[in-house]
Amino acid sequence: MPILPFQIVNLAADLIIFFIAGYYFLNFAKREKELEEKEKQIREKEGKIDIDYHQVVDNALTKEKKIIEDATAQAQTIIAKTEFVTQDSKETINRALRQMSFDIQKESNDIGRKFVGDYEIFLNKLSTTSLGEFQNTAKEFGVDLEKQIKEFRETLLPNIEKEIEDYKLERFKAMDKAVNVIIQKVSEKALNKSIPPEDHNNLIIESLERAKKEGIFD
Amino acid sequence: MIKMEDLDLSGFFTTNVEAADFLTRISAISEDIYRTDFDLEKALIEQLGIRKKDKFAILLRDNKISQGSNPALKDFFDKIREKISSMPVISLTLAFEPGEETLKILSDWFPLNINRQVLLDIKVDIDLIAGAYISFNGKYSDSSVRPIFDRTYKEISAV
Repeated sequence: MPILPFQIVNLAADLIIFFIAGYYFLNFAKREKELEEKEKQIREKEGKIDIDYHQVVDNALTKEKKIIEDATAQAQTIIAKTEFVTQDSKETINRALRQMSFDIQKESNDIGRKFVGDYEIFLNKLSTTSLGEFQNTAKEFGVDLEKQIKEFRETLLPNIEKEIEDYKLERFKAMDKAVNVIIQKVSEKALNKSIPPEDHNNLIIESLERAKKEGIFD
Repeated sequence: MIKMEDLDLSGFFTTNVEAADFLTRISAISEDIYRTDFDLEKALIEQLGIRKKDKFAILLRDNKISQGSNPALKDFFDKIREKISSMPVISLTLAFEPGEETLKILSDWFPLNINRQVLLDIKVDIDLIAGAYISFNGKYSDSSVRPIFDRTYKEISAV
């Protein structure tokens, strides 16, 4: 068997394998380089994003701080104003109340003084006028009373005396009647009890005899 | 045969109340007649008492009823019931509560004077004072002292 062709084929095959291996090695190196490049780019991007994030957060915190500071300042202003208004109002009210109290006291004193004066005048008038009127009235009353007494004696009194007399007679009659009834009842009972049993029996027999004669039992 | 009018029950009762009581007792004896342990004498003593038992024994003898003959006794008790139911009732108002003596006088008076025994329905009204108010079969007789008393009292009061 000839060795050369075999060797040539063997060498060709080794060369092909060598080229293929070289190609893959080169390709692999190229890919690695690309990956490194991409990694580098990503790291750059991440760094940029991180920077942006921190910047946003810092900005937000700064704004928040400012808002709180503004709000606090405004609140302090409002509170201060309110305190001022409250204090002011208190003083105003106190002043008004003091004035009112003073006015009322003054008014009441004036009214009181006026009332006492009026009342004194009224009493003076009343005492002078009433005394005279009272004397007149008393005199009229005395005359009327005398007239009424006279009328009473002349007209009413005789009538009343007659009515009393009639009433007395009626009462006496009623009493007489009541006494008669009592006497009658007592007499009946006394008589009933005073009759001896034998007489009672005899009276019953007499009653039966009489009834027989009257034909009651026929 | 016993005649109803010959049956003399005087002495056993005078008033209608007493008659009703007597009837109840006689009925009780009559119901027991046919019991095997029936003893007439014992039953009469229990229901009527010794005194009336003796009187009832005389009544049986007078009417010729044998105490040993239960049918005759039964018939006799029925006759008594019939007699009591047919007796006339006379209403008698008295001025006092009558005692035994008064009841006896009344009981004796009717058979002697009107020849028949009656039952008395007795009422008491002390306002009658004395005497009696009698009514029978819608007729009445006021023989009490009351009308006399009223008349006399009016005469005295008028004076």
